[in-house]
Amino acid sequence: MTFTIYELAAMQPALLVMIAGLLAVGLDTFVPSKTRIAHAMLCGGGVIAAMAALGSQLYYQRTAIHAFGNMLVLDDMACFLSLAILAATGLVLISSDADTTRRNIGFGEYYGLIMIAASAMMMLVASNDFMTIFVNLEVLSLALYVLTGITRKNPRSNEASVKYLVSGAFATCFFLMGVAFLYGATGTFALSGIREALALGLDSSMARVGLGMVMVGFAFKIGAVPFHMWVPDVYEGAPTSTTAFMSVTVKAAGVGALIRVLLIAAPMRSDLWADLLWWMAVATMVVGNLMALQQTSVKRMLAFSSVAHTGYALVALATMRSTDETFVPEAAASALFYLLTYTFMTLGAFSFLIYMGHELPGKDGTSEWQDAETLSDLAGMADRRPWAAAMMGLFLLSLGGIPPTAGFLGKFYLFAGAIERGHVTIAVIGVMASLVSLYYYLRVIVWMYMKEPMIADEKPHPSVAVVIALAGLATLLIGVMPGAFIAAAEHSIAVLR
Amino acid sequence: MDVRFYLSLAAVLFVTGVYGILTRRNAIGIMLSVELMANALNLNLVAFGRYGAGALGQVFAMFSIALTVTEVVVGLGIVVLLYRSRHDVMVNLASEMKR
Repeated sequence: MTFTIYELAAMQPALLVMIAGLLAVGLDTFVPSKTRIAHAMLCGGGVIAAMAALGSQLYYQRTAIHAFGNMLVLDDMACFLSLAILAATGLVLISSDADTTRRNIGFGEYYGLIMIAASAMMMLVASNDFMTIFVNLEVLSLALYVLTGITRKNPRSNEASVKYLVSGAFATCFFLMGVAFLYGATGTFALSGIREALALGLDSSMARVGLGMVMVGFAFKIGAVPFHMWVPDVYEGAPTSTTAFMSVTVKAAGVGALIRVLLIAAPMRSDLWADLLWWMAVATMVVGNLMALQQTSVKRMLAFSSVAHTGYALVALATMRSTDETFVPEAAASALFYLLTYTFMTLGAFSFLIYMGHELPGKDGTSEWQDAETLSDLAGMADRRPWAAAMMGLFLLSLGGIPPTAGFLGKFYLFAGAIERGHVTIAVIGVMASLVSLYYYLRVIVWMYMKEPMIADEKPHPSVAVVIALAGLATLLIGVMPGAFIAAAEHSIAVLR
Repeated sequence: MDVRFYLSLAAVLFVTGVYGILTRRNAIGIMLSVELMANALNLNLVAFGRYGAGALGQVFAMFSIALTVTEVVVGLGIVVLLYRSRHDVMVNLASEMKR
């Protein structure tokens, strides 16, 4: 295999993000440790430059770039998901200004890790070969293990990070074992090569086991039931800005890579995976919502709600095979659109918890930051912070699927598509599950609007307000004018393969 | 030697690793079990590569070894932090957060 320099264009956006992240780590040696403007400018610049590169790819270049022996492909789906990931990364960079200064986290390492994780995710959604999928999945996981435990003196953060590492390493081994079996059965790691081998009528138990184990690995990474046990503890223990980052971007990247594996490597063997995904989607929606009902901590509730939302996105993949046995790859577009809507509403909701943080007196006379976590932390906030509370209300209604928000359209598009392809049962279960979810979303709104405040010393951080406003704007914009976004998602899937 | 011998050995190693992860409560023990699983799949990759599928399997095994080592480095760092805050590395005792 020989490569031309032109092929680097396929990883240019991700490289820009990676370089900005590495420079941010190096910047620590040149600027005083309390100054953060240089890091923020550098990383923000990297994100904007990568967005510009993706934009020019979408509007001027137009044809997909296949690079490095077709191991990476920068096509419309990669661009769509990369833009969602970059938008989330940009918002998290702004909101983590609060966390880093409040908790004394080193700017270089924090921003550097976020950027490295983001660049691995961008390459993951462009990966067309199990070798690149594995390397990027691993790089992003390693960055996230460290980000989860980055508040080094906080025991909850340590515990979350150990739990994430153990379950993540376990999942990686399953994923790799599946890849090894698929390789043994087909003799290749390339997704298109596996498709050709399967199209020749190969039907060995080795390939079946391999595909199954690869899907278990993905289910672990995106937190689908029954592989979701790590999600609540990790999301609760991690610093809230890290939680916001990983809850949205890992899902977008993981589901995106799963879509590519299913659509490129095994489209004609949907009989092998469609039923498995059906049960996984149903279990994820039901368990996620029922567990979220019992939580008193809003942060933990949002963690379980993110499990439930993984289930909604999986509905689109599970119903790609319609009941009359035809395969409808276009169905994956509703998962892409759902991931986009989910990005902004979840990021907004977690940012509100950061916004409402307050100071707790620590053991030795120092004070410690505590983000808003329980319902009582949010009680009566509608009187004290009317705008922020209204925005939180918007995010919660959107998560529950109330029009005219983005969440409603995402769910409508998902379930209407599932019914169109004959899958009525799963659509009914999904709608019932989101009805149940309204109870715990509305409970937060009731506490914010109808209770007396219990905390009077919250110290809102201005940069988080910017994030809440931008996420709210995006949630409303997608809800009111979904046409362009749905068209982009459909186009991304249509040109795939 | 038949490829099946290698696959059987890998299967035994893999299952031993899974058993270790499910029963061990010591973080170091869990990481050792993860290593067993990683070695099992590396053995599989190399065996498949040697018996028919081509040299790519060995290449993949190199990537896999490199990234597993990185994972262990990060993992031990995290375990040291856990030890500093709790003075033990037993994962089942670390449960500040409720179920």
